[in-house]
Amino acid sequence: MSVFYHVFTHHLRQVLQYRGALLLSLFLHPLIMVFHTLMFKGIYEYNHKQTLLGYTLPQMIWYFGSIHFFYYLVWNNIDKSINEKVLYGGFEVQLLKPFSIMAWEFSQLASQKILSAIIEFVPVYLIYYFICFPDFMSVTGLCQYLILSVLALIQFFLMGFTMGILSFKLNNLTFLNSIKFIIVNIFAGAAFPIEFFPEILKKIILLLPFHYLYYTPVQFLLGKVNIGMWRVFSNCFMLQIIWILVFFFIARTVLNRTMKSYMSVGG
Amino acid sequence: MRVIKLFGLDIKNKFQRAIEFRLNFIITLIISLCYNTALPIFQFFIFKGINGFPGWTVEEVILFQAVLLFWTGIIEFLFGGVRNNISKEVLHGGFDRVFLWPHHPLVSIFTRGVDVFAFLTVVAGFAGIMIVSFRLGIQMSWYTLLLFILFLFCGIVFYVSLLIIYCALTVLLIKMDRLQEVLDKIFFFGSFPVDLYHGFGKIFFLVIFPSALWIHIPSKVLLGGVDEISFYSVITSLLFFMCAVLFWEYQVKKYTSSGG
Repeated sequence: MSVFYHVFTHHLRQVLQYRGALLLSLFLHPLIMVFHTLMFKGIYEYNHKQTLLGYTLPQMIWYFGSIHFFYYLVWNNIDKSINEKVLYGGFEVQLLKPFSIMAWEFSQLASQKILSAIIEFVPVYLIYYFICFPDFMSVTGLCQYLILSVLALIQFFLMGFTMGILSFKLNNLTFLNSIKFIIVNIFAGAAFPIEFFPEILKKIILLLPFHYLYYTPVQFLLGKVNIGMWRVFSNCFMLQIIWILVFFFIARTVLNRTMKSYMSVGG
Repeated sequence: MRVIKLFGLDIKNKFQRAIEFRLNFIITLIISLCYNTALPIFQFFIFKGINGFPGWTVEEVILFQAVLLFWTGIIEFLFGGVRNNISKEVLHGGFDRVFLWPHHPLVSIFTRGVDVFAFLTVVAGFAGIMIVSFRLGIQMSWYTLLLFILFLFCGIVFYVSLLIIYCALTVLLIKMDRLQEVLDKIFFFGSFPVDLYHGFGKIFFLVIFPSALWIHIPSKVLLGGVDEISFYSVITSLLFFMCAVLFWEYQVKKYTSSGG
């Protein structure tokens, strides 16, 4: 806990150093929301429909607006950071620290995300709220979304960590990075709702674990799931926990095997 | 001419470097193509999921997507690494080197941003335009071709202007993760026909902030239905470029180095 506290305060100081960039994002993300509103308004008007593929206009606008929440709360670049340490040296320094590499990386990410939640998610959420009033949203739905997003954060961390550790075998991870983008944008539904896919593709995507990263949590936020039925939420919760355990097992196995064959030529 | 030579050198270097990691190179080429194809596929699913886009038939939207793929390939190939390079240089303290190189800093930054992995996307996009144009029976006159190249060039100029602003802001604010997302979003909006917007929204993307130069206007040129108002975007793209360069110069004047 003490380690986590130090990592957290260290990261807080770092973020406050770059406050200009933060203010810029608070201004630009709502502007993007306005353009989403204009674009989807045009599409809905042209189609003369109240709902498109089950989404009302405000729900569609919020679906695309909430992608920024995914970046605030879930997204990480752990793979890139580990890959750079492997490529340019510095990994052995990490191994000398008195805690496991997984715990270190996770505590750093967690502190970063807690800060993002406070200084980015909350203000942008409030601004969105005034730009496009979410008549479909409830406090319960928001809480369920946040709980599932925390699990998504852990799942995405384990995925990124495994990819990063694979740098030992593959040296250069550019292609794995591209795969990560495809996973997030298509299989997790960050680029567009899964409903846009043909039925067969949709079924395949829903069988894979990646939709828990964005698509499933956001369904609770948009009130598309009956939030009163806690059974639905607990099913999603349990399934996501199972997938997290699977990813944890994979990450541990890859890490242990890699560490067994790791050799450093230190100076 | 010198800029083209520098681009050529960077392409050669990057290809040589990429080939060192052969497996990674081949897989990344394919993955990059798949990734860049994702946006046209997404558009197609949206188009199918709703009653289409106003004023666009299915065949025309396929041509639009081929232009989108070609455009994505070109900008990724030429400038795919610019954002990462400038962020890395500024964050890790290597930015001063840019001023030591013999060319203008912007030339040095932009001619080192080639991403060779997007090569296959350019080829796929070009082939797509040829095939769909043939299927649509488009008569490609010299005038159409020149107009297509002119608008595409102005689109690149406008895109470069945005990248210059990004670089200038990075010099000032250092950590720009969120601005990268914003730039991607701007590109996302530019990848839809501007006919989706009404009134001010349409004029905004056609003239004031001419992202329509990237895909919408070149596609319209091929289809032979370019609006007169589109020609104003040529002027605004050049104005954007001049303002971006002035903004860069202003930011660089404020920059102080603490390097050794």
